[in-house]
Amino acid sequence: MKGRKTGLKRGLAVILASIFVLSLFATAIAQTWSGKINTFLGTSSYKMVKTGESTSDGIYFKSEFKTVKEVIDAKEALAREISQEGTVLFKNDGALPLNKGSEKVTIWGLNALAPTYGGLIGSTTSVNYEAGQTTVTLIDAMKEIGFNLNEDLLSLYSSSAADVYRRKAAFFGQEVPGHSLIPVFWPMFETADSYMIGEPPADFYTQDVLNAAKDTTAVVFLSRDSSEASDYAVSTMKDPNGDNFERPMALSDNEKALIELAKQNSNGKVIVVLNTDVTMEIADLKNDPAINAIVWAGLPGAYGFRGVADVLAGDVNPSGHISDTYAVNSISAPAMQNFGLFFYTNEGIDPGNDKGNWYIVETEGIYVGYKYYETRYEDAVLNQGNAASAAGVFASAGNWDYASEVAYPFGYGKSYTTFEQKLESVEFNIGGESKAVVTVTNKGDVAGKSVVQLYAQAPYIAGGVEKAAIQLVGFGKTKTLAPGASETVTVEFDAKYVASYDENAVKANGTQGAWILDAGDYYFAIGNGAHEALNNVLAVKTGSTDNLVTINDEVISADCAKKVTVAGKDIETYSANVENQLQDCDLRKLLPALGVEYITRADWTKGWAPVWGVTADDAMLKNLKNQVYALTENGEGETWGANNGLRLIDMLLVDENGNYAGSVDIDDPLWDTLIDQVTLDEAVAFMKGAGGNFEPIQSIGLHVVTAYDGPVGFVSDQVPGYTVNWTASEAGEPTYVGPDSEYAMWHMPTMPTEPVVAATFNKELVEREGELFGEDSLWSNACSIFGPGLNNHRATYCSRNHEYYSEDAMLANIMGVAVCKGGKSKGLMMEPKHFAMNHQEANRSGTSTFASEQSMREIELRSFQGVLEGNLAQGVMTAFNRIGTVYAGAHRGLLTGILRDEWGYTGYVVTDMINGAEYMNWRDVTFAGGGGCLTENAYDNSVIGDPNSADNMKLIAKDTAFQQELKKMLKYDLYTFVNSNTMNGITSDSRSVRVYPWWEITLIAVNVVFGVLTALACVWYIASFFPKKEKKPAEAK
Amino acid sequence: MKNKVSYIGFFLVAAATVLAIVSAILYNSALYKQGIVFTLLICAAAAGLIACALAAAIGKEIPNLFVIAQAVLLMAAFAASIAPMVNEIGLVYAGLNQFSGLVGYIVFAVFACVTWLIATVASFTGITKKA
Repeated sequence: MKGRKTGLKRGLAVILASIFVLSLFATAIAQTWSGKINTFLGTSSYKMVKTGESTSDGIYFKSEFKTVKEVIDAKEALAREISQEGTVLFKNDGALPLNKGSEKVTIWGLNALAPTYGGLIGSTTSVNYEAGQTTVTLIDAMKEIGFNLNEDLLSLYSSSAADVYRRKAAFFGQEVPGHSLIPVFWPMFETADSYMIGEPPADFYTQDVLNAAKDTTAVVFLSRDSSEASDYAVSTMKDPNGDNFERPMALSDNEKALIELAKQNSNGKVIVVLNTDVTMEIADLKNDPAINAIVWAGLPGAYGFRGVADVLAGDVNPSGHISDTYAVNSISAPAMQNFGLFFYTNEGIDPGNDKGNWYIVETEGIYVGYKYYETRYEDAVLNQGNAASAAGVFASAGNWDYASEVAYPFGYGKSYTTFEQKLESVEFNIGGESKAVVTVTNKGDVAGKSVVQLYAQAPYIAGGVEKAAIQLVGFGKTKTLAPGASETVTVEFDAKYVASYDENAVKANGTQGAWILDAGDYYFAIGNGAHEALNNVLAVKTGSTDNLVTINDEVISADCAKKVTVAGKDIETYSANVENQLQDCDLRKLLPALGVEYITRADWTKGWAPVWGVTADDAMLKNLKNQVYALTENGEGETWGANNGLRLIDMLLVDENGNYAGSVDIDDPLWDTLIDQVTLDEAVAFMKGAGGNFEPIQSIGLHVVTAYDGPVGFVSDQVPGYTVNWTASEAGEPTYVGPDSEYAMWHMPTMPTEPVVAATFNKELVEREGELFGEDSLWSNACSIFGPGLNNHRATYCSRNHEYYSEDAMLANIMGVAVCKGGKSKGLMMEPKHFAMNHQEANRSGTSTFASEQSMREIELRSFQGVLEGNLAQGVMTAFNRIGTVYAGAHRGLLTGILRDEWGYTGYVVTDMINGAEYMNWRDVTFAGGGGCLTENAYDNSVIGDPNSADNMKLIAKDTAFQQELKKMLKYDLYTFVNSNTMNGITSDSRSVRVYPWWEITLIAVNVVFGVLTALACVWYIASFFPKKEKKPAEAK
Repeated sequence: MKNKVSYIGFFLVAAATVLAIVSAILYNSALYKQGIVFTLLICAAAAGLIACALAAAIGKEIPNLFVIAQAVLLMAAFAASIAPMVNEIGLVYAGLNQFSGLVGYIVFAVFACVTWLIATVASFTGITKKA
């Protein structure tokens, strides 16, 4: 009997101790995820406490609005305006604009009912329907402004008969209409095999419905969706519903049938609307006389279709210009030959932790997008470099022919009126200010805006540094010009962006690599797109228009181009602090024996071969296995935890009205004094999570800093409403949105996607977008947004192009500058992403990206250069991929050599989401100047472990060099915070205090209860070891 | 008075010891791993071995202390293995990652839980009992 009792005690002790252990670990996990839990539950682990000694209201960045509703309305109106100006008219034989008063319109295309508004994940367009928010389809928008739509076909589309054909992607456990691409985070070892176009076959349409459409104008809606973490595959994708297409960008059989039905069952007027940010193959539509007009709408966000409807109705004259080249065949760009899945032949690279098994080689060099098509065109005209050979032919019959390869060139867009542009003058000053003056006159009979696009051609020396025949250097846009009215537009540009990067140039100081401007003739031209501008250049250059090819309604004019001669070669003016930093990214230099060829003007037949089966050598393999840096014992250690009596707020400068007026200069030693106060534990904890919810640093009075994904607004799965980041202790702030507000749970990511924004060619509009992102920041208490996306559209099959502006670096550069300038004015920290070379989503994690340093600098990095060099962006997010074989977030040449030393960037750097793989580790990131690490729980998964663990802290405490990098990171981060609306609410008497929300208290209580019970059970059990004294009979008596 | 060996308890502890080693081997196939889990599992197996050895050699209650330790260490190993997988479980739930990425961990987790259960039952029976 006693044995049984003892067994019961043992068993009870085991069960209680096990539950206690489990609850301890559960608490640790919950605390790791406290940011997410707090966001989900609307709680906070910190609160602001003020003693009342300060007289400041602590509001350094103020809103221009009185209520959150005003912000929402302003964003909705701006979204419409951006779409009005971003909608591109490709073709119009006079069918547009429609007469909404008299024309009955049939909307063709099932996808019109569930269009693609934006992407998935980072750029998810999201509204909270339950809270009363809505999205607007083109159908809704046309009805809103008075169009009479044929309801018969819409009813058929709405019926259950259409259900099987509707696009819907699975995302976060829900079906998302308007999407077929499915975002995935695992490496795409196999190419995607499914893509649903979403249109029914011809026999879906009943005769009654077709009859009802006969006397109406047809608007045919064609759509392709976009998503982060997914890519289109050229040859493996099939439609699960049995639709057929040659390539996903080509029209499918059902789409072709749809168009034929529309042509046969209409009043003879057929308009095609393209709802896509990837460039579809539309040459057949362009060449079909029965298609009267083609309108590109892009992915216009929650409200942008209103702008498209305004254009269709003629309420607004279209002024958008396309931000990518529309090729006849979507895989004809050289970049497409090396896009997708390429694997090293080496064994022993762990795909889970190293993620180093795959690569891409960007053999196209600088010839991305129009820089390929137009440069080859010039060389074909001038009979240079085998340009007219059969190499790289995808749509031409026989030899390469521009007119057969390109449908609509970069920068092209029509209007309902006719504008005449005249290039009056060009001032090209190396080292000074450059500008072009253009007179624009509205020669038509409809008021409208006109975009002035300024292009440049630098002299190409055969066999020398690669140079595009034409490149955008600047642009401007007129106000609305009444018929007959004129406006003079001055386009300012920087001569440094005309320069080319010469990896072999040796500067006077002996360093190698420089920005050069060769001696010779430079041409500057304007035009409706790159092709017209190049034709204008060629007209001046050759003195003839005889061999020039026009593919749309281009007008070639020597008056629209000017020649400027530069007498001597310049390699110093734009090369201060410049030297080669990315030579380890060029596969030709890493593995010369491989004989990889890049596209070159010297011979257009080279560089087309896909680079399969690369075998990394030992040096490359070392990086691919993440053996980059090691923590060592060195130096005397840095000062930490000093008692210097400073607080972060002391670094802020305010004007007489208490508004933000700058900060203590970043080079002031006072920053070092401040940072000496931070303890090493605090610094490491901050570095570990310096991305999403930045860890508060109580020793200097830094409160919680929040950053969320973008770029079309704060994403809803992270900030699902204006009120989520506010705590009751902040209720006094003028932009506080309480949980009882009607708009508390309204979602913010509603703006048009970046290609639409880029197509406006309107800097003022984009700057205003940045200001309204800043307003969202003030009203949602979120200080930083991961946006804009500034990678270039290397290949149209990248399904994340919707998060980036363009194939052109300068367009992205200028748009990035505009939006960041706007955001900064409201104290919002904008974080351009993904720095750099994130050009495909397939195997994006860890993929080695090989390219020439010239192309990296002239194409990809130029997109980022404006905002980072000008310190208009406050943060920059590094990419998932590798630069060469080194992780982008740990590439010293990129992050220190170029970003800090060349560009003088003073903002912070943060990684993209740490995904548990070893290649994104805090040690390498911090050593290389990669800043902090996004995702606070990241290192639970990794072999390197949590940096705050006892073992790692011991290593860090010995490594002075690492500590110095930590201090640099802190300085950049803190300097940035002080210059942002993060400081709103913080005053000299405020303190950030750790509090325990109810869920933490509950967990602690559970731990205590089971701890006590375990202890009691143990005591009970141990007591049984000691036999009770038998009471003697006498005593008993 | 010397205790005698409980054959049921002995068998259960031996089984838990073997399964702890199997669990450690299976843990290798989990997508994300932590060294501490291996350590805890090996310690649990060692505790089981010691319990068996002491039960045979000296009897008494002391071997049962190692049976308790084995069960608690097994639970600690299982609990420690959860943290690295939380993110992955969320990604799979969201449809962003494949379920196949969890299979290795789930197999380990099932083994670890069964092993803990056996060790817990062993703690009730004890590896020694009064003679």
